[in-house]
Amino acid sequence: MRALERSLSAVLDSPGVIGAVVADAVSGLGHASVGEHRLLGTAAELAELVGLVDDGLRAAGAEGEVESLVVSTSRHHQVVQLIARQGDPLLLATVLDRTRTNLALAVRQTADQARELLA
Amino acid sequence: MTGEPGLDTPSAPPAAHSVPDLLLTLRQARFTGSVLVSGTPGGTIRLEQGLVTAVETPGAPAVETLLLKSGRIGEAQWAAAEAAAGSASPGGRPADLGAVLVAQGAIGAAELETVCAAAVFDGAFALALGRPGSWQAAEADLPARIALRPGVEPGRLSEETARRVSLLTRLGSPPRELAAVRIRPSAQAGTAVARTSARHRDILVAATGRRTARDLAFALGRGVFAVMLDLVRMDAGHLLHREPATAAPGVPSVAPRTPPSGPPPISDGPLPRRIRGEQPLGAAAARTGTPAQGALSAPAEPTAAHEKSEKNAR
Repeated sequence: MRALERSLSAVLDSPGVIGAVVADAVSGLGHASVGEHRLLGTAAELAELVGLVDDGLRAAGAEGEVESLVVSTSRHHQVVQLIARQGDPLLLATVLDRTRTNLALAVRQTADQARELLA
Repeated sequence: MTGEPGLDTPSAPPAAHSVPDLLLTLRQARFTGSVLVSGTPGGTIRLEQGLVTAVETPGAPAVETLLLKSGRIGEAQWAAAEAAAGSASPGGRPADLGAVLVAQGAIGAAELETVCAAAVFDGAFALALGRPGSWQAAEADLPARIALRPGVEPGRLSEETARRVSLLTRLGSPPRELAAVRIRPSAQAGTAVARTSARHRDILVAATGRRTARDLAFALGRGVFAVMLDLVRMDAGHLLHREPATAAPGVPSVAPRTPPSGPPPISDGPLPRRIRGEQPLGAAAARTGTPAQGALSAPAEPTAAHEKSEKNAR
């Protein structure tokens, strides 16, 4: 198993997380996925979503860089956290069971995991 | 490898109709070695147990360029790791440079994996854009200095390459056409620059009007495909101006230069005189490996396994 897969597997141990994906946020190349990652769509779709949101925000006059996206359904929270680094950013996407976590915790937890993923 | 006829060796693959077919066959044979692809840009695909661990091509930045040009690793760190890898060479084989970089704390193992994987897929994308030539599979005497281990399944590599070509085409910029234009900021870019992302601003600064997507990727330490995607998005915002490159469409900017037709220009001055002890110009150029020709010259004579003309690589 590669180092990145080991790091991502640890994400599954967090409360409520049932699946996760690491991808290149620009090219959409999927680097690793664990658990019920299909609930998040493909890595390419996640990167495309980030690009669409970024384009839309800039067209609306927003400044700065996109850091995270959150989608909530009746059953899950989906959190996409950008991982800035030297070079193109990565993204960590997690899908969480709503009955086992709350939105604030899910967002904070995913941001913490994103910081630790490449450490 | 001593140059045994490939089809007679146990590890030799049967005839394949394209490089992707060949890679699938080599995966089944758990082949360890290289596939040398000639053509423009051409390159070397490294395999271990049939998995693709590295794709080296002048058409896309290698791991070294991605790490150094992006500023992720400093020149001094890289040089120190190279020296350490060279000195720790049991049996004359250099140590794995990636492992040394990680051991020295220059980069984390997980992050290095992402960079190595990105280089593999980007190299395959660049090969797919080029003019196909011929290929040969050979058992390499030395593995790649820095590589993704374990490597990528060839089937996944083909799928991802097809997705990339398809995505750019769907967005209105077939990659072979996009590869053949030089980029410079549009007249509107100056006023819109405040609303662009840092990544796009970097492209605007680097887009001198003489650089293609591939050149920008090398200059910025990014993947060619990622740069192309950004160019398409920036184009939609009217930030860029495209100018046809001198090369014919479909030929990346790394194509070997061909001498101009007709007689050379006549000089009015005296003929240059060779001074004793000086190298002729041609010899100096050959020794230093000018990128225009040396990097893309056809691979050496076959050393092993398999060779076949390829009329339609993809």
